[in-house]
Amino acid sequence: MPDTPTPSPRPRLGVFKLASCDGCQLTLLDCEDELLLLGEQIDIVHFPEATSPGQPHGPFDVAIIEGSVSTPEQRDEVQAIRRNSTILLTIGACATSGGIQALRNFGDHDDYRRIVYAQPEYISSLATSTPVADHVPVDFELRGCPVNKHQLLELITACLRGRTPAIKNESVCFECKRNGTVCVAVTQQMPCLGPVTHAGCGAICPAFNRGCFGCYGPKESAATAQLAEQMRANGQSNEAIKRAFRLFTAGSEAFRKESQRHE
Amino acid sequence: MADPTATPMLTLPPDGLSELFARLVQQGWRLVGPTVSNGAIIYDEIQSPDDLPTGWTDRQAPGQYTLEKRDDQRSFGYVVGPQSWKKELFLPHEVVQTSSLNNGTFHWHGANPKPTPTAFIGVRACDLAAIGIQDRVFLEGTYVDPHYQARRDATLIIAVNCTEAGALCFCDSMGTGPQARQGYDLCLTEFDDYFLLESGSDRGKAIATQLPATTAKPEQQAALTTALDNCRQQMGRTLNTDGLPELLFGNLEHPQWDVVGDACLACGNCTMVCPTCFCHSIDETPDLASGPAVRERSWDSCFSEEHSHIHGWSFQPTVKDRYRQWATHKLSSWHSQFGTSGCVGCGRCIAWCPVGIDITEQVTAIQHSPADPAPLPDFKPITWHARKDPLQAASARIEHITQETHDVVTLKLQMPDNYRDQPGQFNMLALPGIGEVPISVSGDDGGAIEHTVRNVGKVTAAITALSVGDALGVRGPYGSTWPLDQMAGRPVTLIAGGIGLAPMRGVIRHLVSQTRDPATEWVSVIYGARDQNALLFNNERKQWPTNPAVKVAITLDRASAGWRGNVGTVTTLLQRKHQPVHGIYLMCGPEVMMAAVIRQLSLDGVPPENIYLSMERNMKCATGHCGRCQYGPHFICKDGPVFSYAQVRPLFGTPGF
Amino acid sequence: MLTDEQLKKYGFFKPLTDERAAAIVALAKTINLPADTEVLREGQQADNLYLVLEGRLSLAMYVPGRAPEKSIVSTISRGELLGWSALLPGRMWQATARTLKPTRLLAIDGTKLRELCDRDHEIGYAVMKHVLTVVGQRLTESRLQLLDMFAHPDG
Repeated sequence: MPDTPTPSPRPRLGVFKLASCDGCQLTLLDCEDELLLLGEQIDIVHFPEATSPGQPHGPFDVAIIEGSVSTPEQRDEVQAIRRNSTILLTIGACATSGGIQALRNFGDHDDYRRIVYAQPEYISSLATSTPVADHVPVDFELRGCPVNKHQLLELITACLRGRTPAIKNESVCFECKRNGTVCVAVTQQMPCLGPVTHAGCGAICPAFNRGCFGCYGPKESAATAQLAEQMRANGQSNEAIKRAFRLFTAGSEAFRKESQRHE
Repeated sequence: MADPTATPMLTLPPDGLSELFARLVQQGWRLVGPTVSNGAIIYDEIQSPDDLPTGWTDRQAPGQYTLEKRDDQRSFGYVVGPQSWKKELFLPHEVVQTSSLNNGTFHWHGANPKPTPTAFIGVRACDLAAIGIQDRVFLEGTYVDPHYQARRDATLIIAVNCTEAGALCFCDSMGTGPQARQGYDLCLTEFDDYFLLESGSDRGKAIATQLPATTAKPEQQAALTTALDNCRQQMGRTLNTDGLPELLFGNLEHPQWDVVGDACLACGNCTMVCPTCFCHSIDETPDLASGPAVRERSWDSCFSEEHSHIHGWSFQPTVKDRYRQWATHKLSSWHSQFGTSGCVGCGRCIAWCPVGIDITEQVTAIQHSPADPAPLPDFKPITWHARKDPLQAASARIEHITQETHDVVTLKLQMPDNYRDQPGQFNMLALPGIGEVPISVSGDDGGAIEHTVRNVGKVTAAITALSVGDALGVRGPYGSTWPLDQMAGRPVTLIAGGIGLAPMRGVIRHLVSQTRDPATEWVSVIYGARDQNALLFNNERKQWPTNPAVKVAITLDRASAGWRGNVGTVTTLLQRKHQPVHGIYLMCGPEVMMAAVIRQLSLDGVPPENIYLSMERNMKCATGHCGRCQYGPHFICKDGPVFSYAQVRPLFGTPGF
Repeated sequence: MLTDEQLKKYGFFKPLTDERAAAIVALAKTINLPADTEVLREGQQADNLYLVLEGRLSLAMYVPGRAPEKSIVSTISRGELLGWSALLPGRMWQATARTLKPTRLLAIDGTKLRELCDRDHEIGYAVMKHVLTVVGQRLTESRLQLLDMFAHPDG
């Protein structure tokens, strides 16, 4: 159980970064006007992307983590954040599935280190890149690479107001159809992960005549095997199918298993 | 609507179309019609016949749709694309309500839609039927959706008969096409060198008189019959609808549901492209500043897990459950709900399914090796019209709060004078910006009502944390009532579990207030709860047996210090004596408890008609529009929550419903 | 002793002829107990089958460190059977039974009842059928309790 926060006139928000590109924190900075409104209602006490470096000082009513657990230090850090937070939110593909760096989960960790770094002995990293929820209980996982600004605001607002965030666990297809976007899979037999991918991005790629890349990771009940079979029927090679499922959310269970089926 | 056969058929030269469009624009109509976009024919704003898909046709197969050039220059030489007219009438996203809090009172600002008058150009017969079906959902129930109504009233329909059918078309099987029969203002039939023009309304007739149209020659009229006959011959799909609703309802456990459940992606495309699917969600949207709270409605689908989700679990957890819900709703239970099939045979769900699942194949497979059909309840026309925005709530002030248990409170709310409810009904309780939940009325007291609320989620957490004097949104009452008229002269047994005592308190109070013969009209309350701390209405409950005809027995799942009463379940108390078959039995509690009670009562020979139960499912609107609380042919919100067991027996206890 | 007419009110005797009911009653004696009396104890040799003529008893199982009243798993009231273990040879009591209020029991000698059932299968079948109903009901009850159906949805 998290510690009870000290009584504060305004809720305290901490933003933390693990292994990531900072893009999700940037999404929060991008909120601009809304961020000012937010600032009137909460105290942002830790936000590395927006402030000078400093030690986080808990406790936090709401903690937001960007990034995956990729080093031994990060493994300890998530424990400390959890202990110091009432509500723990993880945002982005890294924090919720291990991120693009989870590609190393499929290979040999030492090989990667030797190939990438001149002096691998200086590199202290874990053999796998994993989502925060693999290490500590998480109250809500916000998907995306990067996360959607409106969803992020909705999540924070919902936490502050005490309501269930209006963030659907439906497929990307719902968004395509509501937007009136013509299906690229049906009209062009284009490989598209939309039917098995969690909604939230607003179905951007199909609107620009591209199949969904699955940035938001698998939706609940993701029928990846059935979709892969259809991709194969549409002429995709095993290698292409493997690569389609092995992108920003390659570390998610459903996509990992599907990509491994096509190795 | 006028009978189209009664109006003279006219002939319009090909360039008459420009004249028609120009007239419509001149009269202030926004034109929406077919146009080529991103490899498909979609419905979008158009200005002139130049925007039409002239010379194009669509080739369709399961999971496939491509455009091809035609040999001729027909403008309506295709069947249907991914979009239907529902995107114009029942919008994919729409703000349906805003609210504000002034001086401690909530104010709701509902619909004041002022849609641009819009002419739909090129409405196919199947889509015309689909509009008629959505009219039944949104306009012809007890509650009328003001947003849909405003747009529907501002719509002019120019239908186009189909003279060619697509590979996935089966409107002929569904009796909806290929000829547009009613519901249009004007109807065109395209031939190589002319259009036939029929008017179906006075408005249409008036427009027709302004066009360079001449009376059609007999051979031209005959050509229509031939063209429609040809089209019927070309239907790429067929569906045998003979006895189909009952057949599917009797085949809920058919192995084909497993087959299709294994193939389906639960991506929701079929429901999104379906021109009749009406299920939607209503969500509170971000409101960082303390401005008005906004409620938005958006297309949802029975293929989403959230659709049937209710505090902590989903009633349709598997993909098979969701496909079966969709297909049986569309082809079977729709008849009970709206007096029509929900399928118009447009074939969109087949084309736009990414894995090409064909609903006609599923039906054929079941028809090939069916179990016996099962009867469905008849469609019941509505008995009254509610004349207000269905989402409009009243702001009620909390007069008194009783803390019943650590997570249950009873709120006493002062209601407007004209508010009346009957025991068993429920209200939607709203906190703008947080959400809305259905809560049964647990008592009436003059101008005040009581609601007993358990903290089981975000909205109920906020409601149970309110203080005396706070405002709360209330709309209702909704739903069916306990059968008060059946309780005279016979014993009544009420079996409640947990919070299930709350919806029964009204009827218990009613019975306690009566003079009843303890020998023949006794009232037995059997109440099960988790433990002593979870017991509701402690003071009032002790008063009930002051009526000599009333007995109250309590049993707990877990004993605690000082408890000298029963430990065990309500079924144990029930089986201690033979239950009279002519008695009336009311129950409310967890479904697993109600199922065990029903089995116990059946053992004693109590007929299903004498057993009543109160059901619960996901609800967003409570007015029969959002589609979430469907229970086979029933809507829990309007046909329930109180059902006789005879009504729900075919589904009760069936996983996935 | 009870009259035939009184006995017929109890489901246990209903399916039996008067003679056969009397044969069982001949093996039994009526016991009157005040509240808070232990009737049988978990782990001891099962001896008598009891029919509750009046009153209520608790069934509890020993959980080290837990107050006995919090270890009550079920209660047994008028008309119900207590101690079905006595119908099987060599069986121990599965729980401890205590009276919750003044209680009257019909105690039937288990060994003799078994012998009677062996001799007269009509009686044996009727008794076993009744006991199966009782055990089935208790099983349903235990399952429903196990489900913890009134628990908070979050668990």
